[in-house]
Amino acid sequence: MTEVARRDLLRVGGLTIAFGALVAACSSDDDPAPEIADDEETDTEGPTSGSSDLALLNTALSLEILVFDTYQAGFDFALAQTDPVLEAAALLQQHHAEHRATLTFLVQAADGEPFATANPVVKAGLVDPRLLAVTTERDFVSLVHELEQACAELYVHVTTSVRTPELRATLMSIGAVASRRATVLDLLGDLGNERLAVVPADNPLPSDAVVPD
Amino acid sequence: MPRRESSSTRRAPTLVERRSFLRRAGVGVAVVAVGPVLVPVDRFLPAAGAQTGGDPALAAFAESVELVAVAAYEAGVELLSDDLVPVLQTFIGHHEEHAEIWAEVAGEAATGEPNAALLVALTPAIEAFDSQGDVLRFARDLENQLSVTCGYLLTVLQDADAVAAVATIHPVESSHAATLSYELAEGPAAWFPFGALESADVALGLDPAAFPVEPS
Repeated sequence: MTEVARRDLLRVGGLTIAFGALVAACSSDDDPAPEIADDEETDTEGPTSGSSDLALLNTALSLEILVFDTYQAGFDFALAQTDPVLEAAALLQQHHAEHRATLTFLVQAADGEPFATANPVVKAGLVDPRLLAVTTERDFVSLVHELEQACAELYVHVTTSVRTPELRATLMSIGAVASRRATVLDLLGDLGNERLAVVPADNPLPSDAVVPD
Repeated sequence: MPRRESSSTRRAPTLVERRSFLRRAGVGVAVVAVGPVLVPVDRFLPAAGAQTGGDPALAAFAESVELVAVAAYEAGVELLSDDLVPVLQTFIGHHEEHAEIWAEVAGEAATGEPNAALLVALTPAIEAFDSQGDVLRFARDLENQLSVTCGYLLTVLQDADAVAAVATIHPVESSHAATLSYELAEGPAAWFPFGALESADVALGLDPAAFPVEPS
């Protein structure tokens, strides 16, 4: 895939590439994983950062759509190339389609309007620049690994923020699978990320990536 | 790609050494034969809901099953090839940390001991460890059950600290299971045994009512 073609892809996405929106996220692959968590305290008694359950659900929905689209870019532009990665990516993308359906249901059940758009902040700040920089399959695997890890962390954050046990259990049923996906991508890409004993409960996304009510 | 089981000359524990497993794990009870692999707890007892005692009791249960994983992996790690020993040792460290987190939530209900009933149920499988594959399959199954158990606990825990504990631990248990499946050279379907949504069905995990914590 040429850089021009990939830039065309991003224009089709309708977003201007905004370097610097997520400064750490735009660093080179040799740098540590981007740290884009905010520094707000987690309050497990209720929603963090003043965000409602609905806002958090829609944020998760928007991230699921973005990750699905990123896998699709991997297929469309042959960023995923080898059979093991292609096979895994196809299954992982299907998971995101299922999660999108689950989250859409949850938003509607909460009398909300589903935010059926790829998260624009994370797309512009992390995904689009990184897609442009992909030169090897491993680069692509590293990108989707970071997205899957962000998904896992977001679900932990949201789970500690929402109010009902049923909602918590449903969200972590998604988040735990996101963690599995991040793990297998790390192994497939031989990325060598550090294994932590717990997943942080902080919001891994910048505060402006939270979809407003 | 997955690291294949090596033909290393790492010495397997003798039967006598393995039979000392329960003593080393601090459980002085008779062995109950339940088969060589992990099975759903409803094979032992009817599935039941949370034991009485609220969040502290559930946290003490969670602490105790984390310590079972520590004991089991310590019994099996010597059968692993050199490249996989650090993986299981990392997991042992994680489970020790998880146990500490749960102990803090459990407060006075914490025992600091592995769950005796679960350890007894798993001892035949642990004593039958004879190869790297045995250990990896056992650990994969246990991690999957721990993950399901975390999902179940999320449906019953009430306290914010307890919810935070299980939410931060749950994905790590899932990650362990996926790692072990990968190292067993299993395919993508086995990396996700419950599909796109992790199970919270305690019948597939470890039921606190089936493996009650004995007060220390």
